[in-house]
Amino acid sequence: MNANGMTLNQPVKLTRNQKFWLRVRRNWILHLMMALPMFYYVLFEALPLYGLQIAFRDYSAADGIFDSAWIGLKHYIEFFSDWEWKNIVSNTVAISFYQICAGFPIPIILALVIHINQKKFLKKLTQNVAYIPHFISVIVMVGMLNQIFHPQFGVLAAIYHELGIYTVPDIRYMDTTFRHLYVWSGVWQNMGWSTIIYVAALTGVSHELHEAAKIDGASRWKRVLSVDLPAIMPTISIMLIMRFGSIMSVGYEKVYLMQKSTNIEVSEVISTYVYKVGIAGGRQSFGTAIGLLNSAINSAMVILVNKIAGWLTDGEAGLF
Amino acid sequence: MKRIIALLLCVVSVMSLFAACGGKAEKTSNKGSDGPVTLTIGIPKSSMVSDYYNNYYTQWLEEKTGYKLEFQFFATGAQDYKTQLSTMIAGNRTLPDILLGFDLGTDLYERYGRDGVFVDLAPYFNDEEASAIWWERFRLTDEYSQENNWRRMQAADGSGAIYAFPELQDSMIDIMDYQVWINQAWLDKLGLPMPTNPDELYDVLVAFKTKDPNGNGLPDEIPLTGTSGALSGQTMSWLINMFIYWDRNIHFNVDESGKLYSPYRADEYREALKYVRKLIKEGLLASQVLTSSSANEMKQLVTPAEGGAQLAGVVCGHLTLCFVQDDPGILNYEALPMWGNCIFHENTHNFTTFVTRDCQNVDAAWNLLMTMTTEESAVIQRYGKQGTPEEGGTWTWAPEGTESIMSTAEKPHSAQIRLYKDTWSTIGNDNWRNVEATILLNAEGEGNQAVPEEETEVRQHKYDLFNQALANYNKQIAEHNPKDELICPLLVWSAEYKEEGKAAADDCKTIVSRYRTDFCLGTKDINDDKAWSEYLAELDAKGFDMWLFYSQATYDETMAAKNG
Repeated sequence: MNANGMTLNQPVKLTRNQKFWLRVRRNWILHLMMALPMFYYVLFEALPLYGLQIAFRDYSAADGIFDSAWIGLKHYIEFFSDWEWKNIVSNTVAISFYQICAGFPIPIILALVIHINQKKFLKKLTQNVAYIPHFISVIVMVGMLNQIFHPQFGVLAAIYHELGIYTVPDIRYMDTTFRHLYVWSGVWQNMGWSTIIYVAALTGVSHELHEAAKIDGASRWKRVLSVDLPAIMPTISIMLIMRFGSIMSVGYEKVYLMQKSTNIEVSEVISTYVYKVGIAGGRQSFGTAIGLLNSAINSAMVILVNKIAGWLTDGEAGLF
Repeated sequence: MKRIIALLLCVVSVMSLFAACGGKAEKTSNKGSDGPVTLTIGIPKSSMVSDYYNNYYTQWLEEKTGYKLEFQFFATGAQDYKTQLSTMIAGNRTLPDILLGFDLGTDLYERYGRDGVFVDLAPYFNDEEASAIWWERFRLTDEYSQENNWRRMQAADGSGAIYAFPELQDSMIDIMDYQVWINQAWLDKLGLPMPTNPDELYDVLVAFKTKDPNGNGLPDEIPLTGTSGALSGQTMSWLINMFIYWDRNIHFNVDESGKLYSPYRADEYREALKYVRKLIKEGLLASQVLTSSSANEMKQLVTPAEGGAQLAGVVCGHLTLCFVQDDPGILNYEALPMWGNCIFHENTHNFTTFVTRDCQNVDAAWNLLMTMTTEESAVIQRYGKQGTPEEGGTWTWAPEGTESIMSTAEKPHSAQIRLYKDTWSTIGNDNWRNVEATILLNAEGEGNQAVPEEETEVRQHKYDLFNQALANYNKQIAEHNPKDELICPLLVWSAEYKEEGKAAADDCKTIVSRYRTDFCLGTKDINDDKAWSEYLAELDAKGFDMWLFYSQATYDETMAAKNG
């Protein structure tokens, strides 16, 4: 005991605040590293939120954000009065849902294929070949589609010509082919890149489980179904929840580049509409209002799908 | 040491986040008390201009005005530069003093004008002394369009404000809405006469498709092609006008009693769509005419790769966009006679130049625009430096009596200028290509150039085609076109009318366009009365009556003003 009657070895009781700063001091490099993304999010994601108010104002460049007149929900009323709004929303959801259905399982299958491949060279080759298309820009991608499916000079036309058919349909801009071209070109471009997270998850699967399954006489296929797939199921569910968080978001660039008068009825989505009316059309308030609505629905979808995932797996899967 | 490096790296990384964040940039266009006035010009950058600073036209303007010109470059595509501009305005960024070549459309520039983004130039236009050059040149533009142009320049709200400085171009070749070229070599080979009506054209196209006129043994001929781009081939406009007068920019025709009616509801319009559908269905018309605005695709059909056969029978499009320069493939083609209706097209009048709110010396900007309006500027802007090649120039004034390229034995014509270099089609630093002269008169256009001293057969044939098309057009206008008073001018709605009826008008235009595409591609059956009735009912539901009502009211007001 010391003079104050306290045992020397007894740990000093720190307040919560002191504990926090102690942790910061101990791991200051980690905190410094974290500062960079934090700054990014505060500066580019959080602070600009104050501009959302123009969704409810009649924004005028002369008056600025704070002095433009309040108009309440006028932009929303205008959007929902537009006879095309149902078509625009349904196109967005249809394309997005199609993308999920077509694009979500394929990277998982590809990751399993890569994972079970025993030959290292073939494995690396498959991975690299599958990753490369991800780095092609949207402009080049759409240019490639235009070249490949050109009805006179494209690869498809060459195949038709070989078959003796010289009236080749221009499937680039048909309303019946737009969604398939859009989605499957996207699947081709991104399936390799999307496997990364699943391949990483698969490398973490315990060898002991595989050994045990082998002893029980499980074939490679059975082990994929009973060991690999359940092991990466939490990753799959998180990815699916996050994917549903952008169900109302179809990037405008590729759709816009592929859009023509002949396919406009199926290709007009929220993002292209907002781009045309809000940004290029100089109606920033209107664009912001629709963008805000879009984000609100996306957020609601994340919560909903998270709940469903939790409910289906008794709370095991789920983001939060 | 490692910790210090890590710390420094983090600081640099965080600081780099702020690199792009800045307040409003310093204005560079201040009138310097001890230096020349500097004006910044915002311009969509053309890939055909190699250098805007070391550029003959820039240097000429700087010398004439005594101002120093700076440039701020924008994307080339209209939608892209509109986005850039919109973002700059929303972000309260400093705009260039003058925007040149910005095709914003009336609604957008009027909105920006009302918001104070663009300077109201009406006081300058109304000051006779300040605008003397402009008025003198404006009165030399084609008479038919003058009054309507002056009306279009004013803001629709009736305030008399003028936010855009007009770019007026009279051009003989460009007034033709469509130009059509037929492969005469194929006609000769198959022993077919030149078609003179839609039925004969159909027969010719079928023969082109089935009788292997290019002789390569393959059924690879494209009997009829074109593009959807304005000027580069309004194929649909040509096809529909065989049946009914239709100006895609105006949407209404006028009957004898001065009442507007819409071609979109007429039986003749339906017949036209049936004809187009038949051509597409039978593989006679490439469906790209509805989608592609790429002139290069069309050129590939006319000028195939080495050793390949020519693929196109009939091509619809501007001469320069259908044929590769100096390619002998053009020798096979002749101008197709026009029949049916022929669009009486106004010359190119765009409202694409603006003085912005950030211009601190509007007088200087106006002086620059006035300098650009002079005759000398118009010609230099288009062709570059005056003088013979020995003098380092690209053009000279043609002596009186020099034969022009559009001169024919029946109709001799004197040239105004002699060109030594095609500055319009070649990359260079002679002009600002995409920003054309503020006023370019017919006499100053390429159509009025002297026959080159060293003439080639290919070029001579190109001039012949030009003359044939122009003669066909003039003949058709004179013989079959509705009278001037039966043509509806471009209607400029007042702000009140826009408020009431613009949404209905826009919706109806969308319906017309969508159904036209669907009918032509066969998505909806044009031969089915029920489908046609649905189309008409849809137009009614979208407020067709309102569109017609406000168009009629505007037409009546326009005519009343015209007739005093």
